[in-house]
Amino acid sequence: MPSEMISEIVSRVLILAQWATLIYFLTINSFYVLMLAAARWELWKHNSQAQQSSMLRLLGSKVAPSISVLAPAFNEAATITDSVKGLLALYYPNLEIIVINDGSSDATLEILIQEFDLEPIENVYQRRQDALQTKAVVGRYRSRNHPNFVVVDKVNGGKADALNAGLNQASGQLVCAVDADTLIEPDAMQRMVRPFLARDDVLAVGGTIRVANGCTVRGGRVVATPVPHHFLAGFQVLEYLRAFLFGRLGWNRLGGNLVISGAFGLFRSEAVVDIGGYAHDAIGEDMELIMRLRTRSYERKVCHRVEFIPDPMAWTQVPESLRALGGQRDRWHRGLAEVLWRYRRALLNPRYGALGMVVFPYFLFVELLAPAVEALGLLVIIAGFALGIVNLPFASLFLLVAYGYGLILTASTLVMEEVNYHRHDGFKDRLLLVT
Amino acid sequence: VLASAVFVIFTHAFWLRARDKQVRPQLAWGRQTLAGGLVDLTLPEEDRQGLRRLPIPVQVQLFTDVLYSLGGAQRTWLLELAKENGLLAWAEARSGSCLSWRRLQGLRLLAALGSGNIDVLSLLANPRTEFQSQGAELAVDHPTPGVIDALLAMASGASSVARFAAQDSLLRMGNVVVEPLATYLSTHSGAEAVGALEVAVGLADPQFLAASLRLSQDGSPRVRAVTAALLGPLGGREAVEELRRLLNDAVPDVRSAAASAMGRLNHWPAAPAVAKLMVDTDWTVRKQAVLALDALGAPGKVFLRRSLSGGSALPVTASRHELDHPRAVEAVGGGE
Repeated sequence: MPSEMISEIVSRVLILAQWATLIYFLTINSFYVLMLAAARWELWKHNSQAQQSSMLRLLGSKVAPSISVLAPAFNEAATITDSVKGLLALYYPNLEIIVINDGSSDATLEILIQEFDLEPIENVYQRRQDALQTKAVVGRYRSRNHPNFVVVDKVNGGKADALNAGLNQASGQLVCAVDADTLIEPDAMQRMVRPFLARDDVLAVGGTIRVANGCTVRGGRVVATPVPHHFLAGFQVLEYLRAFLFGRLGWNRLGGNLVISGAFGLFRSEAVVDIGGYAHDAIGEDMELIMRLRTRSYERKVCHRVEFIPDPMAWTQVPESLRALGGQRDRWHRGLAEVLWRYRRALLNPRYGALGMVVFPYFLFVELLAPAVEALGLLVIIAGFALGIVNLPFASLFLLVAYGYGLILTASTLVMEEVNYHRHDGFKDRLLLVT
Repeated sequence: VLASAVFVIFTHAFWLRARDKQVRPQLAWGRQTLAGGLVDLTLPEEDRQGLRRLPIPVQVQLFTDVLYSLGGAQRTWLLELAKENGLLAWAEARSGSCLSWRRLQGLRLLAALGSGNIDVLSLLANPRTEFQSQGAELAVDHPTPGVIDALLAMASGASSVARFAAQDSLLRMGNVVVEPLATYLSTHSGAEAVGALEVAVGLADPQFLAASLRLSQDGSPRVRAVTAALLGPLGGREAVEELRRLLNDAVPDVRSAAASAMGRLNHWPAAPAVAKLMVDTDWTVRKQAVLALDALGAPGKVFLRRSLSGGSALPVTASRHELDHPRAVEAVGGGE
């Protein structure tokens, strides 16, 4: 009977799909276990190295590398004063702050001029032959009160374009890319620079980003850090902890990081300018930059490192509406897909070392395809129910294992956070995180 | 597993709170006591005993918080007190531990105390970066010829590890480094000399002159550029002649460093040569030339003003910037 045959074929396909899902699930979760172990090891190693090391030595050093902080701002009138005050209050001896006003239509520039007593400076300093191409710069300003604070005013061209305009202006040996609404902890720069001091082959370093929603901010500094009561923001506190303390820390040991967040990352200036700065046409310009830095280094057979260190911290506002969150995640996912497509030559290519053999496949099969696989799994289950071929006890158990396993990973990350940083310090906050 | 995680989180939270309750008053009392003692460098016996009774980690925090920002008699007094309390012995014991994190902890305290019996050379030879860096930090208080040579090798060697720590320590050692550094510079060239040259720029002793004159003709542009930066603070007829030559170097970085050095040297007769670089093809060179002319005083300002009526837009804007700068306006008695 043809209908029986069709039913038989569909059943077989579904069973095969179930097996594929199961194998995918086991592979991913085995890798997660490996990553968790790597993250624990890295955290222990980092703490033992950083414990009691003097940062004052760096403050008084004649050879401390200079850092230019690049903060692109687009319509940030509400937060820009606090952000700049926070940046100016960073404890670092050789620091230049560059805010790039990316064609804001609100009063961002006027507020900066007024608050920080800015005066126009001539364009001559930016006409470098190797300048990165950007949209027209219409003015440059320097603060009379803070000579290390410069504002570049330019025609709107997007974040990558603004960062490139900042790179053209930057005079530091290292450049730190931050979002204008990111609040950086005062000693973060001293901590972040450590890998660059220890080794010459470090190209980029990322720090931890935490959720600022609900925090008390005074003079550009986060002074109280309760867990936000808003469900979506609270959920993202856990998500960020997992992403940074578990994911990125684990990658340090498993093949190096592919993402240094655009909201808080420190780069060797020469290396970034050498590869042409940020790509204007990339959706995820931060990830694209790291991918380009790493692939070029492999192609030139140059030793390089892209590291994540957990103790420099920055705080950022996360979306509190589903619409905004969806838009952000959609952008991140499209950015990931685009970067993976652009650098597909690295996939499983031994020429690119751990990047090609471990990191790239993970980001492709896990980070990019996981939503598709999950959706497929749900469809298969629905179809399985319709055909009556689902083993209900097994399916329920599988669901419990999958979600239970996720909970265990989250709980392990919370333990790491509690034992090492405990930034959400109240009992109520802990309870909120656990529940 | 979940239950254990929750248990760990809350037990840790309770422990933290209890510890905080205990340690906070101890630290506050300790800080107050030390601050009082530092005024006249004496401490009543009961306070000394009180400090001794504090848990070692609290004492470590107390002393290290203060030691880094003190010098002279106050530092010596505080160090004696730390030794009396057994911190030095504790740090030495820790630095001999077979656990690397304990060793590092001990070594860091020794570095803060600035003393202790420690084999710095073996630390510098340790394959692990963190021990090399810590060794370099400790080396400041053990400036033996062997240690200085090892630091020079680290600062300039092929290894990319702990270069900052080595350079920083050499600079902090000061005059004791000058002679070995001059010898090193006279026998090394190319990439091996760069790190040492950077230290020499910070120390700027006339003993480096002979080596810098040789290295200013090195094949590596980086070496020539750092040498130009060194020649600036050294000064003298030979240095100026060499800098004049470097102003015409083929590599922009070298020309830029030479212009900057001329400005730093305040050698006003070089103003015409520096002014020629205002129309250089390289941005960095033009910028340094303008800044150098500004630094040269009145003769430099003359060239900056002349360029305002010149045909090239670039020197015009550059000059205007420098002349409009509040500092420059003050120096020449008003802008145009």
